[in-house]
Amino acid sequence: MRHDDAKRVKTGILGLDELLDGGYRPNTVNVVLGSAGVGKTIFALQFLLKGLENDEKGIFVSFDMNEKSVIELALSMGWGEMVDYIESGKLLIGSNFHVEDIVYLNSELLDFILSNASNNGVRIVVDSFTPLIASLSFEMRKDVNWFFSRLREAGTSLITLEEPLDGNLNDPSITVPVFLGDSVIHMKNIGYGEAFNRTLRIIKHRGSWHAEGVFPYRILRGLGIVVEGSSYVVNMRTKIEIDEILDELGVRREDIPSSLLKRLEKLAEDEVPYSREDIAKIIKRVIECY
Amino acid sequence: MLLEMSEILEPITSDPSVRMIVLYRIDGTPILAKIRKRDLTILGILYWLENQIRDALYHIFNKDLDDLSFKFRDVLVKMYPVSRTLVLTLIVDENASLYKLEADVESVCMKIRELI
Repeated sequence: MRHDDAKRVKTGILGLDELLDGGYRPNTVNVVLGSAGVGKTIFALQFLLKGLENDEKGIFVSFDMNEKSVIELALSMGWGEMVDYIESGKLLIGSNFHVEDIVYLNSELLDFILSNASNNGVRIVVDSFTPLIASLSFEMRKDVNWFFSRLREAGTSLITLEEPLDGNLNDPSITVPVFLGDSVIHMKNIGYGEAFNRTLRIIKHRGSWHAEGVFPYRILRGLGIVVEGSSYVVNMRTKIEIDEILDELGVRREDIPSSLLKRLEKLAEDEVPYSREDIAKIIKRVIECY
Repeated sequence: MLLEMSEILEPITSDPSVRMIVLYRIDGTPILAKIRKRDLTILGILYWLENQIRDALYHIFNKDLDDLSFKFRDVLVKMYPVSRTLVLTLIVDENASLYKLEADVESVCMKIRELI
């Protein structure tokens, strides 16, 4: 458990929180990027379900799925309790925004989200964000920034982005939200079968450690998305003792500037994703050049 | 699975002539990378590989090649298809015992195939 683990928003995706240092940071906008069929909507529903289980409120905004199709998908995954959450009003489905009417980010949608968000513990999903910004140019990034800032005020959000089938990720409708989002997870499905058919990669997690690498996942009825690889990452992390390393290097604490010592102590607060030997080398080099 | 795969690769990783092992997926995504020793000299090769990997994998799979080799100054890059979607890539010293290495690669590939 890391020092701020309790404050993290659990994603609900089995095996993913370990790769995100405990989960999403609260009041953030988190991007899930992937082409059709990778499981973005299942990811989003699983994220909401975890919150609902913890007595948080959920808001699901979709431009192409109505309440009936959300329920159908939830039932196909074996999540019948979703129906109860919708009926009790804990999960709100915003499906009155039709894809053909949505041209760009609009305050009507934002008002819907903000007016239905409670003071704390609300999870918001926009699935998919792509129709809102399909006409986006780089100059309009301030509008996305404004939209994200308002979402952060409302709660912890998850937006999905459609990856074009030709794999071109340079379009502003991808690069702007990826740049402005607090975390980005890229899901991929190569369609050749075998164990690494479906994989995800954490591109960024602002203000937090995240695992580097490509992690296989499966979609299983009942469990939803299950990510493998957390044990591999956990095994790679080492807890270090600064004093021990300084002893080995023959350096006394008092010989190190206090500002650097503070930074080294910060380094030792959490486990580091390197071997002790590598960290000792880095510390030696840092002391030499500080 | 990554942990098991990492363990399977151990006999090759522990060979002192092997500088790096990367398991690539057919689309060029590195699934697992193991660096035996932090060696800045192989960085240039890795950048080169990043640009070539898709073409190289295309040739391996479409021309049914058993392996593919590239020779740089003092290192060899060897690529071995493991399955329909995976390719094992080794960066080794030029004086490595390829006979021993290939025997290890064959055994490792078999174990990975069983695992997936």
